[in-house]
Amino acid sequence: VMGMVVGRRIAEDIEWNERGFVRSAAERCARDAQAQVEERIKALAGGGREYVFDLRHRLEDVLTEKVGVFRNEKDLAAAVGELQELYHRSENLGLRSSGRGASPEVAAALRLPGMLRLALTIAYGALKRTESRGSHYREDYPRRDDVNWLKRTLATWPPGADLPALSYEPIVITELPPGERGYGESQTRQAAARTD
Amino acid sequence: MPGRRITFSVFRHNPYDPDSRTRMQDYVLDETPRMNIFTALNRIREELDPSLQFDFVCRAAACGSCGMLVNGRPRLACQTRTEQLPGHVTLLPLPFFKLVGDLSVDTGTWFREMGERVRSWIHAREEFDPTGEEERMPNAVALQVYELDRCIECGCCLAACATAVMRPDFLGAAGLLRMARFLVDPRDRRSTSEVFEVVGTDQGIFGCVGLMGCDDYCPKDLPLATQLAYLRRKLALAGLRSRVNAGPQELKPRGSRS
Repeated sequence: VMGMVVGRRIAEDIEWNERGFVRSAAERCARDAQAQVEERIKALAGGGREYVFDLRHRLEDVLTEKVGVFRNEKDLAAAVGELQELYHRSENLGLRSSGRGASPEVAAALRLPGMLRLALTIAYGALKRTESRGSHYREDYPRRDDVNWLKRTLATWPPGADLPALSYEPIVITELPPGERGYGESQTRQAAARTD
Repeated sequence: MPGRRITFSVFRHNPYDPDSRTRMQDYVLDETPRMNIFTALNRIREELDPSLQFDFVCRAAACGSCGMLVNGRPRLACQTRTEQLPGHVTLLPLPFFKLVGDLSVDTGTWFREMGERVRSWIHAREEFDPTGEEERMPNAVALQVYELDRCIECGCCLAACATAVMRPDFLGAAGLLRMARFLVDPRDRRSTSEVFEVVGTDQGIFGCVGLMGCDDYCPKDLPLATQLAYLRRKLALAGLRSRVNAGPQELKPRGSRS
């Protein structure tokens, strides 16, 4: 026991006294994040040919036209394809202005890839969900399907991927099952019961 | 029928770029229906010049971020329709505040310091009792407090102020209104001398020369003229009485205001 206590104290002392050494996991995270952003800003000055506002306008249009209130398979699939293309183009962003100071162009360029990943998560999740539920309305699947789709979509983004990895978490009914909202829940349930 | 072409002359300077010099830069846009300075500046940034710095957040005249001089007058840009303006629009950053770049100024630091100077929080006498009943307030008083609480901290009043342009330590209409807000609030129990110390000076109400540029340009139509007059009267009387009676009279009546 004594050895462990002394050993731990020696390690702490070294960590504390070493100059230029990161002292904790939190500091390490902050340093990594800062280095990452600095790299990205440097890359922007590397002569890329894409203009952030052109890509962002196209992102806005794709979501408005194809991932809107009334959704369907054809448009959602097209949206996912185009968003992936935009995502690849965003890896080649350049600057039209100097980028010095509090540059709005740099700010927009730093935000754009994240916006595209979020848009892809929304569009891809919507494409996969073949039912209607709440604000997710599918013209091709107008009913709510509690038999197959009473579950939560989870999305993670593997490094280097251009599409999120989706998985599903079932909803656990604790007190009240989801009620009738008038868009086909009971019909879906009856139909499933008949085919069993 | 073709619409107007509007020329925007915009102040440019990046204080963090050693090569930058102050200058005016012109941008020409075709006017669109219901165009306002917010939509115009965003189009200029995205289509013509992505280095142009300006601030907008809510685009609905509620956050106070977009204060700027439009043809010489302090306004909220998101609330300024181009159809109200001539074909040549000059945009300058608000005076009085530190320049961040182009049309973007730092109002947050000044307002934070003002809040600390005025002690912009309820001064209670008793310790808060979480099990007790809440202190009741007549609805009329609550509405009066709300009227003075509506300030969005945009800084237009300071930009329009003759005194502020001469003395950077002036509390301004915004700071004086903030103090008035707590004088009206019956929950606030600070003493007359505490109030006097902050606003009974040349940096406070006695610095006001009565130009009322603040009242003219407040985008929220706050009752600045009446509140500043009220403060001046109350503090002058309190000052006089303290000399006559060797003790300041109570400054804050409870309940409704005269």
